[in-house]
This record gives sequence, structure tokens and C-alpha cells, in this order.
Amino acid sequence: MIDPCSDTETLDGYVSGELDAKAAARVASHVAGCRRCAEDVAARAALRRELAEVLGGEDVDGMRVLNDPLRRRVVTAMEATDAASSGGSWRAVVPLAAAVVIAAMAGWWSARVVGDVSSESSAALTLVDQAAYADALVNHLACGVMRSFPEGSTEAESRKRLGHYAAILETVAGSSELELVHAHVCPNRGRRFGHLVLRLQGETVSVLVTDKSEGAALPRADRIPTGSAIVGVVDFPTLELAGLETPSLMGFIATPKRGLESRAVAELATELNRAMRAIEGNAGPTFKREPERSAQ
Amino acid sequence: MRRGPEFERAAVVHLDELVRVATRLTRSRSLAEDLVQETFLQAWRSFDRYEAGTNCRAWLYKILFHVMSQQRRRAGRQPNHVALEAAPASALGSSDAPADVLRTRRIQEAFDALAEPQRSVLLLADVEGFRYREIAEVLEIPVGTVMSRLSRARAHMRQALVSTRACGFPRAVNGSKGG
Repeated sequence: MIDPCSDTETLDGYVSGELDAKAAARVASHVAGCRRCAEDVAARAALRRELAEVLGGEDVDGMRVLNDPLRRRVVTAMEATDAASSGGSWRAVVPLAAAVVIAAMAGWWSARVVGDVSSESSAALTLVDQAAYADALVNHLACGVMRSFPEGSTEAESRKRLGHYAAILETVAGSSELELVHAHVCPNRGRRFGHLVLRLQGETVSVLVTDKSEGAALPRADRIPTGSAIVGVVDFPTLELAGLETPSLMGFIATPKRGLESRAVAELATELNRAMRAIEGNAGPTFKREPERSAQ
Repeated sequence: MRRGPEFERAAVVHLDELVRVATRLTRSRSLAEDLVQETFLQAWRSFDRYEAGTNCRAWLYKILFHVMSQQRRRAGRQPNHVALEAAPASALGSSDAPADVLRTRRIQEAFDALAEPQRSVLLLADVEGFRYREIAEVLEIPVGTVMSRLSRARAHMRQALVSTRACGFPRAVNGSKGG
């Protein structure tokens, strides 16, 4: 028979309610007659209570408010994951993604989708990976708009973080209007985006680039334009997502509608086009994304 | 498709708790947010495989710890992410008396000084109230390991705190037990 006096795990189990009835009764009867163990059990129970109070006790309402942006990010990303994986036509994806945005950002976006893909670009748009649009949109919202970043990254740090996509930093290099807020790679459903969060004329703008090979299944590759071109603009009530593509890359510029001069956005698109071509030049078949699989 | 509301009811309700736990373990609010976001995305993707009525909370913790170890592996271990932002809400809101504040701080310091495996087990058992069996499943370790880690973690905490015990609690043991 185990002597509880020398068996801390048994006493721990007793205090945690982990012992079966028989073992618990045995310890209880020992504790009743052993002052040292009685004190020990009392101290263990007190510590347990105290830990729960200090490490678990919190201002529940305050915590809930503090976590609201994260909760919105989670819901947005979650729903967009569905939107992106549901397949179907582009036209089906756009309203769904928009609905998600509206649901997640209740009160911010209040209208339905008002725009549509222009007729001349819609044919090309059916060729691009629709899921990438939804992911780019989510990244813009989740980590461009809703998230704040610490200030003061150096260019070297930004380059390092962007890795394969470092050339997109060139989109801001020569501009006096664009201010780099943060550069990083965002993973989204196993696809990675090089992401620049920028300020342009007081608004948050995102530049995103991803490889088509990163999980994208592009139908009928023979019809993909070989040059880089703006292939579509997704029109939301308050933001636009312009898509560009080169043979192996997709690029996106997410901008709010209000207040931005189209000239500035066009210049940004031109620079992104150039940067994507530069990446194309560097991109070899050896580029691999990090494995990233579900826990299950 | 009723997946969304069901997921929110079963899983998203645990978000605050997961942020709290992740913040305690990483000591960084922003790291914790990233972890929790990824946890929920992974959970959402495999929600079809989740059996309604089973322990969703433990299932989320399992994913959280899995994501955490994935990220740690990827980052080549970066345990020293001590951030001021990690100051817990409890330190800000729950205590008024200086002695309590001091005690709270000592407990947090003692907890932070534990090795990561012990922190995880202690947090799950004594703060979040998981059973040994559940902890073993969440952390994918044998129950015996849970018990020994917990025992060591509690012993360390007691040792670290015994000299600072303020009045108001029954006097603790004199001398420590082996183990």
C-alpha cells in the first residue's frame, strides 16, 4: 500500500479529485490521522485555488471586448475559407465573399455588392483562381485593416520576412506617396501571400502576391495571358480588389474606394506589374511552400 | 449549410479562453492571437470530422497545442518572447490591496519561470480544470507523464511561493516532500 506521506502524486491526485473512490478513501483516512499530510493537502488545495484565481481570473467582459477584433478576423477568415473552397462561378464567389465581409464587419459595410466585373475582363477573370481572390481579400481585411503592427521595421527585415516575394518592396521604393506600414508573408489555407500593408493618401492599401502553384488550380492554362495584365476588379461597396497576373503569379491591390486618386492606384498597379515580372525572373522550379497541414 | 452557426456555438465561444491560455504560454498577446486564429481556421477546416456532442473544448486545445508546436518548430524555437503587452487582465483589474498585487505578481513570475511542458500541464489542470485523461489527450502524452509533470510543477510553484506567502492562507508545509 502506498504511503501518501511519501507520494506527492497521490496527494496531488487526491486534491485534483483524480483518485478513484477507494484510493480517495484511503488517503482521506490517512490524512485524518496525519497532521503533516493534512497540512500538505490544505496547502496544495490553497495553491490550486490561488492559481485558478490569479492565472484564470480576469475581467471577462473586458477580455471579450479586447478579443472582438480577433473574433471578427476568425469569422471572416472562416467564412471566406468556405467561400473560396465552395468552387462554382466567380459570380457566386464575389457576393459570398462580400456577404462575409458585411457579416464580419457589421456596421462598417452596410450595402450589398454594387459592382460587377466589367464585361471585357470577365472572360479573363474566369481563368484566375477564384479562391486566391477570396484569400487576398481576407488577408487585406484581417491583417491589413484590422491589425496594428509595431513600427520601425528596416528594409532588410522586410526583405527577410518577404523572402521569395521581396521584390514587391520595389512598388514602394520610388514613391513619395506610399508609406510602408508592414511587410510580411501571410499564410492562408496553405497558400502564402507576400503582403505589403501600405498607407496611401491616408488610407490603408494592400499589395499581395502569391504563386499560382501554391494550391491554385488554374483551369485551361493555355488561355492565361502570357503578359501581365489587370484581369479584373472586384467591386465592393467600400473597397476594390484589383487582380493582376503573370504566368506563374497572381497579384492583388486592395484599396478603399473613397478618397483615393485613381492615378495613384494605377501607378501602384504598374509598379506591382513590374515587381511581379522581376519575381518571375527569379522564380525557379525549386520554390516550395512550407508544409502546412491541419492538426487532424 | 448550418456549419457556421454550429461552429460558433460549439467552438468560437471558447475563443476568449484560448487567447488567455495562449497568452499565458507564449507570454505575448500578439503571438497568442496568431495562434488562436490559426487554431480556429484549422478547427473550421476539420469541423466535419468533429463529432457533435463530444468535448469541443478539449478538441480545440489539442489543435492549439499542435499549432503551437508546429510554429515553434518552424521558428526554430523562440521561447524568449517576453512582451510587456502580456500583462494579464487579472493584474489590472482584480486586486486592490498592494499585498495582493505583489502576491499576484509573484505567482505570475513563478509560473513564467516554469519549463514550458510544466506550464502547459499546470495551466490545463489547475486553471482550466481539465482531467488528467483529457490533458494526456490534448498534449498527446501518457497520463503518467501528466502526473509527474504536474507534480513537479506544483512543487516548483510551492517552493517559489512559500517564502512570500502573505497572511490569510493556512500555513503551508514545513519542508518539502521528495519527488
